Amino acid sequence: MRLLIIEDETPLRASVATRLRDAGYVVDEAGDGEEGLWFAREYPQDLAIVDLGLPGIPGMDVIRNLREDGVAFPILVLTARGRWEDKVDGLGAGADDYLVKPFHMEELLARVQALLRRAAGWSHPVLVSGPVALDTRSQEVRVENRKVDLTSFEFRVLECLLMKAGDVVSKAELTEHIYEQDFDRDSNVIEVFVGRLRKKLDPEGTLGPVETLRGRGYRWTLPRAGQPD
Amino acid sequence: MPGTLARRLLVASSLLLVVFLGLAGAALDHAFRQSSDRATRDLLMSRVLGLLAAAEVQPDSAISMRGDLPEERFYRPGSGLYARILDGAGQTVWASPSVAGWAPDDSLPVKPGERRYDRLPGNESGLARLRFGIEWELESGALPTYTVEVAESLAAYAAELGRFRREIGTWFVILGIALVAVQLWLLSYLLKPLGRAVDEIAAMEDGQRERLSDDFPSELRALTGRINDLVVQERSRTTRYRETLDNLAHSLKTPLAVLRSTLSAKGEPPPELAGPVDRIDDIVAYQLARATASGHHGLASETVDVTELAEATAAALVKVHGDKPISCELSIEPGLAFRGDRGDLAEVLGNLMDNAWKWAAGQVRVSARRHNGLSVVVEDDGPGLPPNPDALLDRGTRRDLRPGGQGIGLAVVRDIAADLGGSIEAGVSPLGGARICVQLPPERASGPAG
Repeated sequence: MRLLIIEDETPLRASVATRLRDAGYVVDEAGDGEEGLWFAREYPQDLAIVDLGLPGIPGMDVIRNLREDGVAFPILVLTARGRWEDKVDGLGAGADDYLVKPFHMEELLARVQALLRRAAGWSHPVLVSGPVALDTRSQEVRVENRKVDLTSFEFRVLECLLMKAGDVVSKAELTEHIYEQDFDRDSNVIEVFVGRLRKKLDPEGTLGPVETLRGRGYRWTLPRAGQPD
Repeated sequence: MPGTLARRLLVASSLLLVVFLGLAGAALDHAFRQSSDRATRDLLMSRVLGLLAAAEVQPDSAISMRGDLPEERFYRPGSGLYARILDGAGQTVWASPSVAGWAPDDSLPVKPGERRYDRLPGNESGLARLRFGIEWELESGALPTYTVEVAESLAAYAAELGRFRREIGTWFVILGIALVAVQLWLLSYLLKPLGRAVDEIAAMEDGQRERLSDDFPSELRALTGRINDLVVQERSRTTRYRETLDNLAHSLKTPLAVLRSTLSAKGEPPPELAGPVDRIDDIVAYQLARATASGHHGLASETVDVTELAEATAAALVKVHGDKPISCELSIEPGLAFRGDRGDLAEVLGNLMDNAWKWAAGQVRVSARRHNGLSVVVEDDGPGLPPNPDALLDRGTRRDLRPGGQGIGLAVVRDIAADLGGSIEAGVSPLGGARICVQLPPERASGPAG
């Protein structure tokens, strides 16, 4: 999953980005609103973290610009102002959640995971599809309650496919959600990851969780479950 | 001195009117009496002359009258018109038939040529009397002196005076009423711009006007212009104040965020550092929220649509607590408005509703109505407040409260309510959970707190 963080305070941005990368996300870092908007337009983001107190274009305007661009991904607002009026107005302007500075890093991570999951239509932190269960908090994957060890890249590919379960995900999309730069656009790498995933999740070959659509990409075929509606 | 300008003016000018009309009445009365006195004197003199014309002196100095007396009333006893002629020794030598029994004790003769006019107490209104001394040359060459005395009842005069006074009185009353009426009209005409200024200020307080208009009379314009300036200053001061606080918040909290993220970057932060950071964070958060609240009052305040703000807050909370299916019931009096600062009301609603959302099992109810200002009640079906909810509302406990609990939010709401002269009450909701009721009084009655 690819995240964008727009925060002018470099040390804070760096530590947030590091923590998010450790959690398995691809992170774009922007120091001001203009740069942030460029990243948002250039790369397919899954979520943006926007500081409201930005130099240049104010954070609130960045959110409005993004929404006017037709951007649908969730936006998490960071704000130093704890005023409810600002929170209500910010959420009304198109943000989806807010965190008041100074926040706990784990709190930020939990909010990011929840927003991503909800945006993908999953309402529970454990994504369950057939016998496959992916816990977004602990990053644990189980198949029929048996723990499966995945590498960081494999996990990212699985999370991406599972989040968009039922939809076709192109190789390019997967690449961009896994790598920060587009220097390595060798689609064979994706094929290798998907192949390894299939083996780990479905060693007997009875489930067939990932379908290959020639020239178009991949699709998670198992039905979503565990969604209390 | 209490009262209104109009009353002051009315009282002062009415007093002036009474004094003026009183003096004018006294002067007129005096002039009337003077002139009627003169008229009486002339009348009596003409009667004296009439009598003299008819009188004849006998050789023995007795007096007799030729023909009829000039006035019929001289014949009727007690008619109020009397005449006598006295000789030099004061003895009555002739008296009109009307005199019958009338004898003023001091009917002394006067010197020839002298006219003495006086008044005698008599029945009812008294008498006016004229004595006129004459010398009568007889054929014998003797020069006896006589005094002709004519007295006439003043009843007619008194009646005339009474009539005059009544008439004057009537006219003065009419004049007085007319003058007061004119004065009232004048007053309302003069005070109309003041009244308009008051109306416009009220309209500003109700949020229907931004500023006072510029077409006031020049005497008032100095005042209304100053009020406009003050309102503009107040608004920009509030904006500047908020911006300063925002900057302060940003410059305090971002380093705190850096500190916290750096601390937790290498696993679990050491508690001797994490503790103080949390504490600083709490204090900064609380004090900033407090300082930002209650920015402005009075003329610079706005009219806030309670329904709209509550709906926006609910929508925001639905987003924030996206995983929690809460059914929120808003029961707000239609058209309900809050006169004051939008930020204050947003803070009250936001904190109370956020707490309710956090604790609720599935149901939140927000009700607001007009009751002594604005009454907001937020309820949930959660576990309710701790056994001693007042401790949460107590000022002394605020530093021990952790964010995320009921703590800082309730403390901020309590302080805002107190600043606006209102109150907060915690209890148990029929839904099963907590029920927080905040009462914000109408602004004009409360005024800003120090």
